[in-house]
Amino acid sequence: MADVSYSSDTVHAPALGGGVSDYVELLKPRVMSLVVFTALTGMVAAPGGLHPVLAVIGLLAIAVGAGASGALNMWWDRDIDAIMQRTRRRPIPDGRIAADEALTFGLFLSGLSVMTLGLIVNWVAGGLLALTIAFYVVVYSMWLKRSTPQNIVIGGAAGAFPPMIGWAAVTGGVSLDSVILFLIIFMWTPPHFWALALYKSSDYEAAGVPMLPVVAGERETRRQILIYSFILVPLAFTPVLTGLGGMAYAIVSSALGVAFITLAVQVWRAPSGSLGDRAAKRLFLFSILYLFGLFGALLAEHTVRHVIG
Amino acid sequence: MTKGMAQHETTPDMTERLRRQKARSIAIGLGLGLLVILFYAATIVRLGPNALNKGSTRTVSPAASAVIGDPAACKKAGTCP
Repeated sequence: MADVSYSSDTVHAPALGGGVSDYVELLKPRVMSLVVFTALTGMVAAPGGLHPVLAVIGLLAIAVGAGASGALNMWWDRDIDAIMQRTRRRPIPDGRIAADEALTFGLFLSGLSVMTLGLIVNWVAGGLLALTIAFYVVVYSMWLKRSTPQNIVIGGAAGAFPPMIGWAAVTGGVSLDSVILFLIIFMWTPPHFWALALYKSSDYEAAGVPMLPVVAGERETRRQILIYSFILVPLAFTPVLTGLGGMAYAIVSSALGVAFITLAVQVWRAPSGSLGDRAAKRLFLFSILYLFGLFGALLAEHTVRHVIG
Repeated sequence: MTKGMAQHETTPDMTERLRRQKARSIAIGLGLGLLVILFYAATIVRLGPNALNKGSTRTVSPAASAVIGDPAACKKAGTCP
């Protein structure tokens, strides 16, 4: 593995100061959009109701909290971000924002989002948001990411919390259905990120990040992707059994599940090289559509139920 | 070029820095404004109709009414002098 000798001195503090768009980039807007979407689904699917104004404030707080954890992640990972092709143009390694500014920005927004959600909505949701930020920054970024190939398996919990936070915002608690939504994202994370790591493994290797393809090899990664896919797809069907998902969700979940398994088998059977990379890239892109599809179906069904009454 | 003129001379970097500083200040101002509006709206929603209650319909206990000189209430509370 490469020796990572980067320090905060390697990138000098920007002379011009960051622009507003650089700070927005620190918040990882694309990740934020997925977080907001899954949290909204949790809110809408939860039994009971929340005043629309409080719901909007709750969603904003969850979005800002997710963004804050992204900024703190970029602050911590600035050394490896500078090495990896995929991340070297991020604001800190690119010299547009100083590391200390990113840290202050992330800490301030973390505190603000947790306090806002706790004070205005409820403290179960606020506590879960605080746990999510701490899990992503401390457990995943600082501890697991650089120490074990199981980093994204355990660290995936951070990305799985948002629907549970949305659910808690409405009900004030945690239930079996919200745990199922959590588990769907939790089991979706490994095949999603390992598919990416398969065709970006040289990037991770250069940065010294022990992703599964780097440590255990491509063959084992493909096998693990297949195993997790076979766990994920039936799990994604369980909302139908608990009554959380209806007929539309059952159809969407089944159709997308068959496609997911098919792509995972293709990744498993593909040879190394460009063909294997292409199969992995297809699965990676489809996995995003898969999650949006599942949560979109739930969101649509429950919105219709709310409208009809 | 005199020393005074040199002090007031702006370079493209300085102009860009000032432009970014101004944009950041505007963004912070808008963010704070939004936060104030959100907290105001949340307060109204949380308090509901009570947000406009200035205390004119406050219920006073019989014992307290006796203290403030309400004869019917002091009779009911058994605290008439």
